[in-house]
Amino acid sequence: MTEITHDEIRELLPDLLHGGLPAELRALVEMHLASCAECAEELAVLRMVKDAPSFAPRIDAVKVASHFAPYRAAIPAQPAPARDWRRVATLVVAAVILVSVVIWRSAPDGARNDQRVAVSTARGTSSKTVSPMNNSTPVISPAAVPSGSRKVEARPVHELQLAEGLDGLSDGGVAQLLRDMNDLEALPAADPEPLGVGDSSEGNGTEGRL
Amino acid sequence: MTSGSDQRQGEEPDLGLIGRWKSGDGRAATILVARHSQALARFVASSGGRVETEEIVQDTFVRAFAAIDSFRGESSFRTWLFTIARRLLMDRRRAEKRRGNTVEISDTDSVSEYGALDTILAEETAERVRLALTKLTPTQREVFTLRVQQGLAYKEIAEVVGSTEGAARVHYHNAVETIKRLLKDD
Repeated sequence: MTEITHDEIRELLPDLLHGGLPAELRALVEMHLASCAECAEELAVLRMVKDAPSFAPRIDAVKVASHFAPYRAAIPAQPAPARDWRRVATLVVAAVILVSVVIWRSAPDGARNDQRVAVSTARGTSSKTVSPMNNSTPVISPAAVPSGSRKVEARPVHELQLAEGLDGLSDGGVAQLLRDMNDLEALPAADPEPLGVGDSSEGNGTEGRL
Repeated sequence: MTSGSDQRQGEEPDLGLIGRWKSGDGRAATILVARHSQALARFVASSGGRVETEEIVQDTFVRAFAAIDSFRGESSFRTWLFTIARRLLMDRRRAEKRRGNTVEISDTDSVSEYGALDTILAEETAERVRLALTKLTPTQREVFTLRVQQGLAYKEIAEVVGSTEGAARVHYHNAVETIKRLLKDD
């Protein structure tokens, strides 16, 4: 037979009073009570409390129920309308482009001149290229530089070409455009590398900086 | 082990009656009130709200049936009613405290709380028990009466009083020790 401790028996006394114990457990508790004066005394106290006449007034159930408002089922929440993800994607792309242009325009000239980015999209296709131009290095013209003070001339090569519109982009095109836009850098990640002007052997030690 | 309900074998379950009431059967609500109202009234009365017991019991049922869709059947209907009643009692205690009319039964002034009218109804044993209960803290009293008079399990008691099973167990054992000492001393 299962062992049960004195403390566990005490825990079960209210359940015994309310007839909530299974037969086997009830038998164990009653056997313990027969030999434990402390538990028997506690059970008597609990029984006194349980069986004490209640001071609560009688409740008129019909009267109470007459106050209930008729049941009205809760109106289920309307499902949110499906979003037109194409419109959302278009808005996101437009916002990204706008922010990029603003950042790009607000960047110092020197920071902008070191990169030349061409973005071209073809209407109705997902083809688009983002590529630094081959001739992205500023051209330094020694002839144009007065002796003793060499002037660095950088060609402004701002170019951001977009297709006529974005509405015609396919789903893949929009996704690709978003990925490419993420790769764009509006500002250089670090200070530009010092540029040697011409061959270092022929120069006078002056270096041009962007 | 305990159900916390006065539903007898062969009677329609509470959830079935609730469903019938939702379908427009007003008698189902009356059966539910009759099934649970006295236990609720006893709990309210023993928790210190005896003066307004009838009012609180009625308010509890009105609120419960107005929000019946929020009853999911995870606890028993009676446990849910106890929870609502306890909140109403606490709201009332707070309101009376704000008005400076404290009726919360404290350890110092609890003996005279019920007044002379109650003693007419009380027999000796009932009076001893009542006085002993008033010596408990409000939470001890709630836990003890829910456990001993209503037969709720600790899990259900914890739901009603908003605590853990362990805390409810501690409150119960402290209350038992106090009640035993008081009733033995008499």
